[in-house]
Amino acid sequence: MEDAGTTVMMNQLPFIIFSFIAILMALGTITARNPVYSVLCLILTFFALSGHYVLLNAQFIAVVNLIVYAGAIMVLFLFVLMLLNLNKETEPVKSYLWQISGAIAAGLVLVTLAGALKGASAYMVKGGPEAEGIGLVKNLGKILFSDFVLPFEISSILFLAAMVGAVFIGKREKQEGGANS
Amino acid sequence: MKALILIFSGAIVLLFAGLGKNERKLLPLVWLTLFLALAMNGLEYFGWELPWEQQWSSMLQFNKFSLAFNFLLILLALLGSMLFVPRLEDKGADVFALMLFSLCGGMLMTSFTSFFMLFLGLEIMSIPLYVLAGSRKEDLRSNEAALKYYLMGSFATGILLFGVAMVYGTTGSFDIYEIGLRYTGATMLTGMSPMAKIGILMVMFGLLFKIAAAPFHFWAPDVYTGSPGRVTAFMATVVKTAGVVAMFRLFAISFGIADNFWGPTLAILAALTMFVGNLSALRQDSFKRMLAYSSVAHAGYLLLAILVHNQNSGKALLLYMTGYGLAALSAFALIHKVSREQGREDVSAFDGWAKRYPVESFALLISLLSMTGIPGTAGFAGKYFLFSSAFEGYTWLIIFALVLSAVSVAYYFRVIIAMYFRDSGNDASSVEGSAMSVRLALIICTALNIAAGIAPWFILERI
Amino acid sequence: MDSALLIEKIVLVLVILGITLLIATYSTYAERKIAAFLQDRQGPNRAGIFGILQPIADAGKMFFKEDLIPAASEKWLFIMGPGIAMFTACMTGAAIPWGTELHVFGYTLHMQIADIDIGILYIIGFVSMGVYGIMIGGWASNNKYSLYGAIRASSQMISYELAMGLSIIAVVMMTGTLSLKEIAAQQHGINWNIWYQPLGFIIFFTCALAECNRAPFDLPECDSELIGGYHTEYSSMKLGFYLFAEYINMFISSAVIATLYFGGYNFPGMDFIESSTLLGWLQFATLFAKIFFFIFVFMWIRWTLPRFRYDQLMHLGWKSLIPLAIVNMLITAAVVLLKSNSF
Repeated sequence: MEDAGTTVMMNQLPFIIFSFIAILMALGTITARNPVYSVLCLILTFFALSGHYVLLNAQFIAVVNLIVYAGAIMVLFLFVLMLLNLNKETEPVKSYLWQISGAIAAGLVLVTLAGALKGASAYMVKGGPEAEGIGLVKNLGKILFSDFVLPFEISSILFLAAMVGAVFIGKREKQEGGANS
Repeated sequence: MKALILIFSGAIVLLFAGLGKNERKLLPLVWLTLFLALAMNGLEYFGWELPWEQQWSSMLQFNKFSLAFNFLLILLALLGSMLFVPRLEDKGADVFALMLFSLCGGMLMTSFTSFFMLFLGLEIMSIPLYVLAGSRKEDLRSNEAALKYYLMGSFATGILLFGVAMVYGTTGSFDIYEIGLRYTGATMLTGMSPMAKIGILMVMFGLLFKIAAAPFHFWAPDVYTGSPGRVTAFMATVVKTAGVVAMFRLFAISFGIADNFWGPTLAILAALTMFVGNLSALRQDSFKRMLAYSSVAHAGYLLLAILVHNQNSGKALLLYMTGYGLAALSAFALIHKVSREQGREDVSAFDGWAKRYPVESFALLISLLSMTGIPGTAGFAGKYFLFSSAFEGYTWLIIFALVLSAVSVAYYFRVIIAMYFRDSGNDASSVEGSAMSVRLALIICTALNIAAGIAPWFILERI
Repeated sequence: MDSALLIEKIVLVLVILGITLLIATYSTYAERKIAAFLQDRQGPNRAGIFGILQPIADAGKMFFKEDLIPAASEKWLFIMGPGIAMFTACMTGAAIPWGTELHVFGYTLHMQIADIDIGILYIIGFVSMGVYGIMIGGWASNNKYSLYGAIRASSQMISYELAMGLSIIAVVMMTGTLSLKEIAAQQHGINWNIWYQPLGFIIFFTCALAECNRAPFDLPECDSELIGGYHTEYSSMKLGFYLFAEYINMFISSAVIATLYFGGYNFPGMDFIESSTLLGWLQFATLFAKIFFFIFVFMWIRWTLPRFRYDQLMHLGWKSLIPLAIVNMLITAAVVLLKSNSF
């Protein structure tokens, strides 16, 4: 009995470690006073999540998560934060009443979630020989271009819209009157 | 699907057309795109289907229900694009293209059969809007609106996704029919698992954010007031319709079996939304802000359809959204006109309007009557069918809704009184005629509104 | 895991790490000698014969210098910066196939630390992580020149990563795999990818220069404007780490370029060699010869070309390299499609 318990523990050990890091760093993200530290904590959270993806046999997602989120998006975040030069002093101070009510509300949500998920059992996705390498690039690519090709193509609308939007925001306003130009 | 592709292609063509110098041709291009899409949607409605479209039924399903709503969405977008003559700084292909993209998202949300498409549709609809809300870049209130909408919207999407993850965790599927089947089975055997319940609630909250129902409506007044007029009108009509329809689809098909669980919650939220919306609207001086709150109140009425989630309430939803959409479009357009002329948006800006602008005033009169629910307008018909479909199960809520509708007369009629019974003091020389397209669209809106009020079954039978 | 395999891997890790550090050390020497050659002067020639002990003397100096941490800096991050730079630089070597097999004392060594299915993505991932060392160090120094360096580094890295990724996609489409081992194996003999992807190679090489912060893209440490850029405030071995990381990055980039485009360990006429022991060593040597060549090219460019201005750098990245890379990708895709349909 004890033996079985230890093997289960051993198998779950990476999961527990990654989860621990993820939760700790997520907490760090929201509690850190300095926004740069927040971003760094968030990056470590992404690393821990990538670890989870690897445990789920989804290497591709794991690496892409690192490249895209940790490697590109967070760099831009850091870039902006460094330029903004936010300090502890400039952070708006909320009154105690707000803090307490916020803490109570969030605590209630936590209790509800914990209570609801305590005895919950997830629907087991059937494992099988085909489920073994499900996260590998080859299978992912095949499935992406067969079953999920419609969402895949439609997400191009999303990206195009986001790009057009970004360009629109970044575009310099036209000089009206044109005194200087 | 073909209408969707048409709109998307139209948006891309528009972006390329924007490279040219001739900015006058952009708006007609938008109209053409939307008009063709409307025609295409009509053809699809009457059964023109290409063989490859069936293949994606596990992702998107274009049946009578979704096509009827898509028709409404495209119509609202078309009328919306006609009603707002672009200001100097709003010219540019990207604004129109973003609106078309957003419309694509809305059309996905009416026809999804998988959570993937729901999420994609929601994002495609929202992301252009975050930008559009801030499209008047030098205006601080517009910037505030964009930031608020973006932060709240992404937060809501996060909650929605959390919910979707839990629903997936309990069913192992993203397909809404499959989820419905699994939940039916599970409910019969063991009762709903707590995880599923939390998931349903989170999905519900995420979507309620989008349609600005209380207590998730706090962003709405500021965003509606701060955004440029055309964007506000788009948000109040197209986005709201798409959000409610997506919620209706999801809660009717997937979560319908569990309605004794989420029903009471939603009923209370609906009551709260009506209450907050109507009472806050009473206190507003700015007409635009008043309409923003009234839009919150209407979201409350619309939730009734989701509570009942049967065939009849779906029909009533279509009718109601037609009435509300047409009315809100012309109302927002006329606020736009007033604020351009007088630089203010409060009710007193409409003093003596009827003398100066008889056509516009009549259009506004009809839309306000329709929003109030006066017989003869589509708003009344919509309310009638919506309330009667829910009367059996939720009598207390309907009575409450009726009382609040009566309250709403107070603030809608303030504007009518200002228009028809007050004197502006200004002489008639300041009259500035509306553009041809605006006048045409106003007439179409008004005519459709009255027509739908007189012959509601024509719309009801579309589903 | 099999304990023999474990030991083999550990040995390999240590050997590769040792070689990496050694090459990085002597790259400094090579750099100075090549600079001297190109500028028609002697270069280091005091420590040992031809100055061969110069890097060791430099390292000794680095170690014993006073280690200053600015009072107004973020201490933790200030210390972490060089560490991250060094760590990410060293991690990338794990996915590169240094050869096929090597027979040493009767053992067969597989010359790749980890045959990751998605090796190329792994490398891009760690390269993109490398910028954090520079950013964190630059920001934590609390010096405006350092901050400028950090900001330049981050925007430069992100801009050039895109073109780099796009040029790699062309290679991936052509070879049909993301595994570096497979990519290397497919370029048997002289069937190198460079013959099919010349444009891709030029783009990749340019981006590699930018990713390593090498001249003409060395704006993050541009000394005429920014004193020392992100490492202005650093001294002693922390500075040493930054400099070292740069050389390691250069080494790894050369290895990746060699593997992706120049056949990796393959060399013409490799089929005629009977002895597998000899073949193993020759392959190993071939790869390193290629790597040394590219390191030489890196240095050659550094001492020949002037530095870009910042707007020119952005212009090149976004308006030339990325469109070119996309065109390259489209052409490759079209050819791959045609080939799979009609041949």
